[in-house]
Amino acid sequence: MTEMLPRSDDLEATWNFIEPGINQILGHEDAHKQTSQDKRVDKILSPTMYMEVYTAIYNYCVNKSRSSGQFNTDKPSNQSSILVGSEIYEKLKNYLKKYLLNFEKNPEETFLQFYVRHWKRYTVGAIFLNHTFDYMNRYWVQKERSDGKRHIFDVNTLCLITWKEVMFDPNSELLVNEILDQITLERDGTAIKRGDITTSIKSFVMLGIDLQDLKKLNLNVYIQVFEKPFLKRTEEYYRQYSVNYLKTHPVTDYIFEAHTIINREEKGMAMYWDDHTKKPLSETLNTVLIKEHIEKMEADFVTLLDSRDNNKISALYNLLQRDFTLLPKLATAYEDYVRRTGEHEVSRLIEAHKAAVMSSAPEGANPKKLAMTAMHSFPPKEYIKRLLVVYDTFRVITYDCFDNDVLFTKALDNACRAYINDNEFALPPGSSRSATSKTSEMLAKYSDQLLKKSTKPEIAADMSIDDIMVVFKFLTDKDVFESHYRRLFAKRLIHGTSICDQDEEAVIQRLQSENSMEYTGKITKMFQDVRLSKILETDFDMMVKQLPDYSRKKYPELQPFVLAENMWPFSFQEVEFNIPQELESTYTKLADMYINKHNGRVLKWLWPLCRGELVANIGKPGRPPFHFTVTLFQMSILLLFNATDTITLETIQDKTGLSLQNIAASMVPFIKFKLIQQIPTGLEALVKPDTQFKIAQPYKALKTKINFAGGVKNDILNALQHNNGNGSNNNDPNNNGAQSKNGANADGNTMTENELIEKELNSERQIFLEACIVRIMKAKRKLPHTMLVNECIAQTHQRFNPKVSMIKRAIDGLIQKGYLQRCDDGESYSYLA
Amino acid sequence: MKSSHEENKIQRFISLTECTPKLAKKYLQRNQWQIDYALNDFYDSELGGFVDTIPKDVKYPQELIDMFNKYSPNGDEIDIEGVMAFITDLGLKLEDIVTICLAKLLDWNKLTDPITKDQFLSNWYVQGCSRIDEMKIVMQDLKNKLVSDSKYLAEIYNYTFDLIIDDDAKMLDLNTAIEYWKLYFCQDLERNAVLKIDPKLFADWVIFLETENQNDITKDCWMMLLEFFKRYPTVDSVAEDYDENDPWPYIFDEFYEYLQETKGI
Repeated sequence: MTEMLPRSDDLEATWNFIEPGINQILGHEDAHKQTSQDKRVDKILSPTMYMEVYTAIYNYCVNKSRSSGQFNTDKPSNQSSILVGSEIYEKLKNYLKKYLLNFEKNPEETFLQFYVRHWKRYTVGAIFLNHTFDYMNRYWVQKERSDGKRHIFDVNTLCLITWKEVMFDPNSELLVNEILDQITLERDGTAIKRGDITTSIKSFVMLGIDLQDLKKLNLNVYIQVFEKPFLKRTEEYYRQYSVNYLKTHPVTDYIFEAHTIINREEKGMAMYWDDHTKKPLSETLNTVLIKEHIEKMEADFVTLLDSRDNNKISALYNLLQRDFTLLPKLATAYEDYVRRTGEHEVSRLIEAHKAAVMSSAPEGANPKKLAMTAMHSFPPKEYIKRLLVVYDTFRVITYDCFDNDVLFTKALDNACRAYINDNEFALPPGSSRSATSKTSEMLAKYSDQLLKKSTKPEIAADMSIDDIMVVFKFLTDKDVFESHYRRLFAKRLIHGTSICDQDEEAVIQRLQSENSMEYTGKITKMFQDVRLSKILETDFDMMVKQLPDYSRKKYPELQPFVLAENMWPFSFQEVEFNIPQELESTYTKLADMYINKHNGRVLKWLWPLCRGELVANIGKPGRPPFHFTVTLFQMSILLLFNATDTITLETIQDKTGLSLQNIAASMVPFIKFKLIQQIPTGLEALVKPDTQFKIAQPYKALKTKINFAGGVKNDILNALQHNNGNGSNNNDPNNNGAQSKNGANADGNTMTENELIEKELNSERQIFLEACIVRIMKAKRKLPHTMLVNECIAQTHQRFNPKVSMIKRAIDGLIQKGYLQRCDDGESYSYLA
Repeated sequence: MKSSHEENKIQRFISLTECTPKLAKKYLQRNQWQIDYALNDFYDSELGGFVDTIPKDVKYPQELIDMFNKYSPNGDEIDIEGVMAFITDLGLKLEDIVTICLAKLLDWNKLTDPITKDQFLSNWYVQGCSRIDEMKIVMQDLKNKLVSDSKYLAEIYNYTFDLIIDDDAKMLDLNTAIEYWKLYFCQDLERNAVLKIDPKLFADWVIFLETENQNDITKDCWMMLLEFFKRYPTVDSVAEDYDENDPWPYIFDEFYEYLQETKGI
């Protein structure tokens, strides 16, 4: 074989020897015209030829090097002269140019096809060629480049650069247009030859050669020649497309269409372009498909929410979340929608309830009064449940459609806080600015229904502590809830109507962990009081049974309650009352025992809250005795009839020491149930000293168990305990005034109670705020007004949302009391120790 | 090492101010030995101390003592009748603001308190007055000061509250407050350079207090009212600029609401 090779120092001979080989490697222009047989011949020839060409080039380079110098010279400058290749490199360069210029487009093919056809063959050839010139590449080219000759390239790059110069640069516009037309065709839904596009676009990337650093990938060509026009074309195309689409389709369809388009562009067609295009393409699509139609989609949002069609809502969200700047507006719209829905649902409930009340009312009833009744009888369970339904609906939507996006969960929270605290029922139109939301009260009532023993247990079947906690979380006036809850809780404890202690405790526990120890402090203490009272009851019972003079008659069964002052929603008031003789010894023994046990404690007796049970054997002979449930006052009156059948009011007053009002209030149920006959009759006579009261002997009643205590129209709180119970407790002395208004009708009483709660609440809040301000100022010494107000709000929101006016009033109060003073700067306060 | 030049200045300073050499040096040093600046500084800083330190053994002019005796039947203090006579002789009335300036000048604690001999003599002595016509000039000066010097006005205004409030009370009765407010806020507006209040706004304020049953006025409210009127002299300015988030006492917020509700501002 060696004999066949040209002389290694003869350039022309060498070139002439290798040129056919190069031709073979790159392929002939008319290669495709050859028969398949010829092709095979070429292929068969290739390995030998390849070796020969390689060797010829090698010999040429090595020989020249050897003859012109020594390898082992130490001087680097000499090395350049000993590595040879420039002549053959020039020859190759010229050859490639000529070779490429020789290409001819077939008349039946597009330029794109022509380009791709040659590119495929050419690039394969270039790689082989590169190998053939491997020796030159490794020594001569590398040397030249490291000497700073940046216009010398390895053979593969040389092939590509020559291609770029000859084939690509003059024709790029034509080529790219053809590609873009093809893409447009595909977008229009026509099937195209995707391979050609992929190949041609890849070629743009490969042609991006950084002349300084050949290893560095450079997308200049791709971006300039292809990406820019491509994005422009894309924008134009979809702008036109989306406008047209929206003309003939509803927005909802468009949303899905946009998804389809984006999906196709980003997934289906992604193989066409370089990764670099991903981002700008997304942005272009976002702009054209989303931003430019954002108003229409936002307008459609409410319709979608109305439809509750999670698919559609989620489609819209997914579309818009592609550009996060679009989301806040959507979240605001969502918040608004949820809030309005909540408000609307409550209003609907009110309507329904009113209608129900109206239809069951007798003809000609005063409509205004009926509306009032409707509001008063508004069912807590339905109300709370309705609030929860709205919350649940949107919680699911927030999860399913908005992927629990922070913006949307926040929007949901805000909306819920809004409609739960403020709706047509909670704050009826025209409420005063200082009014607190009725939701707190309703939630307390709801909790009561859940925790109270009821004749209809099925009502509480679908109620739960979780419900309470959900609404509780959103309450702004948490202190109002606490106040109402405590009142109802007190009733449950004293009446013994709690379903079970565990449930009560569970609620308290949840409230505590949701809010604070301090928040449930009073409630916890009440719970404790009742437990201790049970122990006291047992102890007392054991004690009296050991007395030498013990008899059931002398010491009737007793259930005492000792309640801590200020914790319970009961107020102590001094009441004129002589304890009946029958209870005297019990009363003194219990008091003695308690004081002995707890030295220094003061017992205050809440007579109006006591209840008892009497056994009265006044029926027809042979009938079983009656059991009367009565208040303590009623009991003291009834006991008088043990001695005589008829008593004047004066005597009753004298013996019991009760006020006229208390006597009258106690007497009314007796008269109503015909246990006692009043002579003469009439409301006016009821309070005249000489009016006579006669007990019915025999008493003809159908039931043997009769509750007279319930008929006493006192303050609701007075309806208290069974079994000769004694309660002793005290509450805020401010309440006395309202409590002494006995005997008013029930309606009036509830109003008074509510006013009372509000008054108590306001003073509590004021105290809380003042304490809070003092605490802050003590630490900071001096603080500007705004900061103090903000700090105050921050420290208070666990209990209630303080209005700035309240904080200001607290500040005024503290200035007046000399805790604070205004600083000269006109905006700060300083703390006076 | 004091140069004779500095020594000289210290001497001159002492001759003018009658202070100690040490003090003179201090003021001269901190004013780079510029005697004019040092004097200014000295009087600015030390003036307060000056007035208070009347020598114990001062001899009051006989004329002044005679005048005191004229109003004081017992020679110890001037009782309420004497005070009235004195005020009349000064050409004033009890219900003049200038009378409050007088009270401030004489260190009255309460309007109803008598004036002690020491109070009368020392305070007038400081003013350099011993005759009624001299005192009249002082009063006239103060009257002018009231309408030209807003700091002085505020001082007198704030002093008024303590002067007129009942002994043990913490709050001022509304009627009294209104009477005195009228003195401040309903005077001749043309002449007043420091306080120009729309009479309508003041009238609204009074009506507001009366209709809302605000019967007791706190000191804070009293003091802030002057600031309030300075800042918002007309109904319109309240309407435009009042901000409930500013640290005004709450009562002004209520007043603002009241104006919104009744005047539709």
